[in-house]
Amino acid sequence: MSTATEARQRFKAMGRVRPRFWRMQNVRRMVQVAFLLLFLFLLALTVYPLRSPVPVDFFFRADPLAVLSTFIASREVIGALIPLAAVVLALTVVLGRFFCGWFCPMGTLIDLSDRFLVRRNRRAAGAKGFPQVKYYILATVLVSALLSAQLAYFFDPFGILTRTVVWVLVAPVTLLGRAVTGSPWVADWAPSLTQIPFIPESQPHYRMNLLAALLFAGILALGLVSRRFWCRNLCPLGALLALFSGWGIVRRQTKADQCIECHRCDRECKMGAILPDGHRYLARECIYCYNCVSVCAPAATSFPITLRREGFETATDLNRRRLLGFAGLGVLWAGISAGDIGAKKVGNSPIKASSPFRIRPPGSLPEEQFLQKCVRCSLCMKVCPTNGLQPALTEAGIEGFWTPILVPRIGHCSQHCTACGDVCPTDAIQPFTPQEKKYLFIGRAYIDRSTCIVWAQDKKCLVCDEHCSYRALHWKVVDGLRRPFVNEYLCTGCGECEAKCPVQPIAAIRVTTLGDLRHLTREAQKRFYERHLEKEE
Amino acid sequence: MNRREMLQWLGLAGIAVVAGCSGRGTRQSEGTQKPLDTARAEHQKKVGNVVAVASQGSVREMVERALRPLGGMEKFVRPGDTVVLKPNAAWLRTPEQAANTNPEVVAAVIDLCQKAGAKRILIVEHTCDNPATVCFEMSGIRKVADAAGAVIVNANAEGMYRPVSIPGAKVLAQTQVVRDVLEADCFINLPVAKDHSATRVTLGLKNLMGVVWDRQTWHVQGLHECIGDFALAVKPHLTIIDATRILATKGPKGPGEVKHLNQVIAGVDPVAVDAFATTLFGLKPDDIGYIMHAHKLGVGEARLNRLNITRV
Repeated sequence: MSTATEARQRFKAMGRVRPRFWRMQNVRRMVQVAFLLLFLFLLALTVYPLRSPVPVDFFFRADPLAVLSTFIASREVIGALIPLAAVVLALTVVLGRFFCGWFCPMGTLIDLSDRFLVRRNRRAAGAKGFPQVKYYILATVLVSALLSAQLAYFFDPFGILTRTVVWVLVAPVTLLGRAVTGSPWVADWAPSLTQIPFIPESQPHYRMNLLAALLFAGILALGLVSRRFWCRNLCPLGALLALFSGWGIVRRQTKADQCIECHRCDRECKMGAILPDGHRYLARECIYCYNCVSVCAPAATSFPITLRREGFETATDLNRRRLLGFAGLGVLWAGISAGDIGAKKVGNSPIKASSPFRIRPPGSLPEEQFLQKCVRCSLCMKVCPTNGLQPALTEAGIEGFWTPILVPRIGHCSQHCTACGDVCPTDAIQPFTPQEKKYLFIGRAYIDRSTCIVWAQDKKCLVCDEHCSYRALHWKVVDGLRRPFVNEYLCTGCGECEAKCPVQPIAAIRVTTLGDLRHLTREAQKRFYERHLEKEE
Repeated sequence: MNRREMLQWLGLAGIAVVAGCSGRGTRQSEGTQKPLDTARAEHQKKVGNVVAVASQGSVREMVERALRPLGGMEKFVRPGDTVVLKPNAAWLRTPEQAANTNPEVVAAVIDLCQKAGAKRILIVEHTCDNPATVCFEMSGIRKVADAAGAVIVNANAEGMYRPVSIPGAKVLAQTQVVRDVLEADCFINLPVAKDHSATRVTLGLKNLMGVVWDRQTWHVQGLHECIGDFALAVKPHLTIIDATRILATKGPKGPGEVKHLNQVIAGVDPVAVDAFATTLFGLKPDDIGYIMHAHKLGVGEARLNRLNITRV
């Protein structure tokens, strides 16, 4: 009689055992939900004025991929980003790739959606997929970063998820929230409800929301092919963690004398990590979800602390030719970024030829360094109180896709607000104070005299002057009427005039990057401002 | 009940709540300002030409004194009333910068309204700067409102407005006004006296732009005419101008020169109060287009020699 047959007989004699509630699978689920809620809660706290006890960029600091890609692309080590990312990597070395299974909110959402897709993907559950591809994507991303072109943002799960929440999900929440809180009846019944801080004062608008929604829906829909398709096959953060996870001290063990060879574990492993024999498993793919422990009816599976090598497979089966090919794609991407017309500099100046409306938030690094550091997390867009920060489409060239730009017609840069500098995880937008804002020039307004009410129609209108926070408009009598002029030494390019100009649909006063002083150091910007102030007096 | 049934019920209930709360359509009918009861309307006529100017004592005392020639707050606010205050809290500016109404004046008025028996006090403002919540905080208005239990109505959503027609207007045929203002038992305007780049000075009538939704078009249509026209549709029952300190230059937002005049001016005729307040800036009522426009429309009296100016 074989071992399995004996085990089966013994198992039948045991009778039914009710699963324990506090099994690791359930503990893992609770941790997952807790971290998903923390993720959403931190995003909800990402509003101006910032009053979060935890840095709202917490998840990006704990994201080794975004951190590493930024360090490589910018050739600079940012101290504040080291600790959490290092902890994640260190824990991965010691424990294994638990991060994907327990903490990643993207993984949690994929698990949730997979539950709804489960009837369709059950047959595909055993499919092993092509787990090498994620390493190739990682190679593309890192090679591209070596050539100073960020690409990690497009595949980084936290980036994808944050953008989806900010650009797509904030809108329906606001719509529902305002339908209730903006109602006159609610105002009569419970006035405090009209001031829920998480619900924006007005509907935020984001370009690209449909694209972000489709990308995210596509990632979830991959669950039809196999469970955790994204995490198994595509996620470069998962690949990075997998590379660090061949030495863990928590290892899956199966007791051969108790295994009844039902093969539920290897069929139901959502990462496809367990080999068909049910005993050996791909250590770099296992995310410690403990599903195999839960489905193992005779309790033959466990995850003890051990360094035994039996069944612990660490091979990645990478194909050198493909790896090089994907690395070449990274070079290609960097080349496309650098070869795009948007990257062309005008003469020897630091000004790039991309759109004159590529207005960066104040405190932003000079364009080149900015592009190397920005991870397109969209936190600045979430926190911007006027909704003026929007993802760039073509304004900043291919290399600046989805980077934040100020679109003053949607919202200006509010005088006292410093929130974008405070939330930026990689300091592409350097922190700044409200006092500094008056000399952090991000552009300059010009008056279009062919549409300005005063210039073109000889009517009285002073809305731009009325709203200007920096008193940058002055008036001179021309043809018998006082008419507005922009003072180039006071105008910061905040766009408040453009936001409020009554001329529709194109404002008669507009901000362009002319006058952008980001290429100067902050001290130089201050001196520039003060010198001209003295001249004025 | 199984899970599916429960979800169906929850979905239906959710739709009902949201649809009921948003109530689109029904609330878009035209509105007019709620008329005063006879006693109060007669009192308005009786003290119609009185402009009270208080310039002694603390802010609180000045507000009280300014109301004395007008018969005291009890003549305007009755027990159980809903009172709407419209201070200027439009700007991201601190109280010292004098771009917004002095919060002490607001606090004094809230207190007097409460003493007169007001049930609910709403502070309505459609701010110029964003975010509005920060405007309320920086201006100090939030603090005094919270301390006294007044409710701030952040009028930055179109759903809070109702369309109002203005028969007799020269330019502004129709506009949208905050619903609470129309429904108030007593509407008190609390402007701050300021220099203004577009209209030279901003006083009571100009301050009413803060209860209007689409006011950008006013600039295109003609600002003075629109301000004057609007006074036909919505008339504050009491105007108390804060001139404890005024922004003498670079208004309306500043920062500019702040002058401490230590005055509070009150009256029921919005045109008369504004006409007198022009003298604080060394001007005449004739210098300010919107005051003269409102005067010609018959909203109130702008000729200083016809006013009963009472210094208390």
